[in-house]
Amino acid sequence: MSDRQPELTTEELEAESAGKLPDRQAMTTLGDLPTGLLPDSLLDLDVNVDLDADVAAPIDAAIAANANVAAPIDAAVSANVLSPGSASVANAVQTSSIVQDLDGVAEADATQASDISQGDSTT
Amino acid sequence: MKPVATTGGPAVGGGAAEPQPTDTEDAAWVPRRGDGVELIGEYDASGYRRAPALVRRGDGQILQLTPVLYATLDAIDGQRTLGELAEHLSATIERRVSVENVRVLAEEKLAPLGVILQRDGSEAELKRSDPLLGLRLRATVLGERLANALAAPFGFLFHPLILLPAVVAFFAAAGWLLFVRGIAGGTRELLYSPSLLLAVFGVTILSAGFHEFGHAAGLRYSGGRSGGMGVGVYIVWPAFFTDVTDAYRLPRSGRLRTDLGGLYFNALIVLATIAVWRLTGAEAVLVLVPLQLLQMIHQLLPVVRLDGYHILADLCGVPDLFARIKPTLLRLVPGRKAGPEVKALKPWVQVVVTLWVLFVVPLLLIAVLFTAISFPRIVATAWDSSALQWQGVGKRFDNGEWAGVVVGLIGTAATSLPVLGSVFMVSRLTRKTSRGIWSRASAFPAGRPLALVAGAALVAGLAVLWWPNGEYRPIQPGERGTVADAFRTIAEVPTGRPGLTEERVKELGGAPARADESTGATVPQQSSTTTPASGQSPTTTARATTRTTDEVRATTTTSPTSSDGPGTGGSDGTTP
Repeated sequence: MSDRQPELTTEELEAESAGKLPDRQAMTTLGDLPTGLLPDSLLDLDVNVDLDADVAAPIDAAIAANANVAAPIDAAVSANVLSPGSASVANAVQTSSIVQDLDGVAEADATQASDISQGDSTT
Repeated sequence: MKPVATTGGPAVGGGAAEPQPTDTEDAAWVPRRGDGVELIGEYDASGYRRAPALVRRGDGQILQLTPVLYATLDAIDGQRTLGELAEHLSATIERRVSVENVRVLAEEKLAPLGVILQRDGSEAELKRSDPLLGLRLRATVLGERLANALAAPFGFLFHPLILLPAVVAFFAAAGWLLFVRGIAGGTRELLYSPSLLLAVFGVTILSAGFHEFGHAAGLRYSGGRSGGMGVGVYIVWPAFFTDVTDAYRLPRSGRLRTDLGGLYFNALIVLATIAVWRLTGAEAVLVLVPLQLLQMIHQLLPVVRLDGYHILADLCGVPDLFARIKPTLLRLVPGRKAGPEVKALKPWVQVVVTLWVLFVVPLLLIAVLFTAISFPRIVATAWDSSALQWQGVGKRFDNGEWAGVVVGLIGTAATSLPVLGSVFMVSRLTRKTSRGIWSRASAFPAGRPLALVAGAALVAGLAVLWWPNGEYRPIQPGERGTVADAFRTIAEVPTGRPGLTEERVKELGGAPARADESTGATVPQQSSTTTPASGQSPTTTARATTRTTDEVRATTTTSPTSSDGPGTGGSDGTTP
């Protein structure tokens, strides 16, 4: 039978080939962990915003800062905007310690205004 | 390899001066298979015109052989001489096969692969497949026996009487939850509770592991045997893996069951989550559902070697799609005919593979280009985010909030790892590419000088993009990062800081780092003015004076200019 068959040609021999297949690994990447849900900012969760219930306090982001001076953001703001003759006191306990090497004074001015509605009178 | 002259083809090894074997010696040679070589058989439901066959080498490497080559290896039993093999093959493949034909097949094709011994009895140097986009830094956690033992009990889940109702229930439940009921309540509950958040993280990681058991169980159910399971780094992400190399030898249905087993187990987690919610009423657990769905969608992308890639490869019957990229691209060059590697595929498979290549290659190239451009921003963002997480860890540690500490640590790792992975990937890519180019360049007269010039140009280009030029600022909340934005950055390359030009910095208000904001280390000055509705415009003057170490004093004076009366200046002093 084989004598009647044509011999394998050079082209056919050259076409015979082999290839390595890569190891087949089923993978689950952890790149899509819900990191978006992480509490990623102290400002979001941990800043001690101490506001009396009846004291509306516009927080101005004007911070005095030299480039190399660490200036803690203290969100305790005492504001007494719409209650003439009254006094308000805000106190924030700050536990952070800051190590810094420079002495510096910086000033920043910011104009701010707010429209505030209050229900109760303050003392 | 021993240099051998051939009559039917070009000489291999360039050893014309070496003594050549005679025809008689050829005919008397008894080839022998290498140790541990296993003939697996024909690749089922192949996308090739002539279905290839698979062989597993002693070192575990799977090889794909064309039919005549496989028939030759099958006939090599350590008893037959080349002459006898020629007779045997002539009968098997129904073509006349000469001794010289068999010698070429055995000595020039099979021996270099390491599946048969060379004529002198030695083994060829074995190299395993090492794909560029493969899993790196692998560490096996569960060995083969343990992985199979643990996966086996889950096999019943693939019984059609369980699988079909489960899949229907999954689509119905997920659809109802997402389109009818919603999950806002669960999200709210979760965000207010670090412990719950930690639990969600834990379950998400466990579900990723369970996904892997889905692959292993699907493989077992189909008659295969899983390899080890473990962890590694895939491109830039940490990853769990299951070695399912044995799936190559399964029929297509078994391969697809293995591919889809992980997604099926994700679907089961969704059903279990909804069941827990129904029983306990805990809204927060519902957050797991969209997380699982996102993971499933991510897995279905066929761009890199995730489940979607394997599913597409198995549907086409082409085991290694990435190896098709080069011949497919060459075929697309005008005036070039399709090479044998392309023509070997069935016509419809050629179409699918071409479409896949046209989708994947530009996508990967664009991803690499824009990653290079935005690398400084990515680094800065990861640094900032890690710093924030780390600060949170310290604070919660002081307060004894252990769940928060763990969440913060996970966050720190999650934000750092992609950058570390990127650095690893880029260094590997550079090393491998430069070695490849260097060795191939030697074949051309001006090859190596040209390679050096190209390499220098690449280094210079990256230096321009990455040299610290003020662009190492974190990505800001307002930045959208659309494709149009990305393309716009290309025009900014000459500035040396296409990721963040000076104009863009101004637009972004200095692109501040949030970690700095939280400590007040370097906060750019900001001012805000709003139109007063009540006609009052108090002015606040902040004066911060910093003195010695560990001492910070701040005074704030508020001077309202209200016409209602004098305001009372408030002041607060803080002490460390």
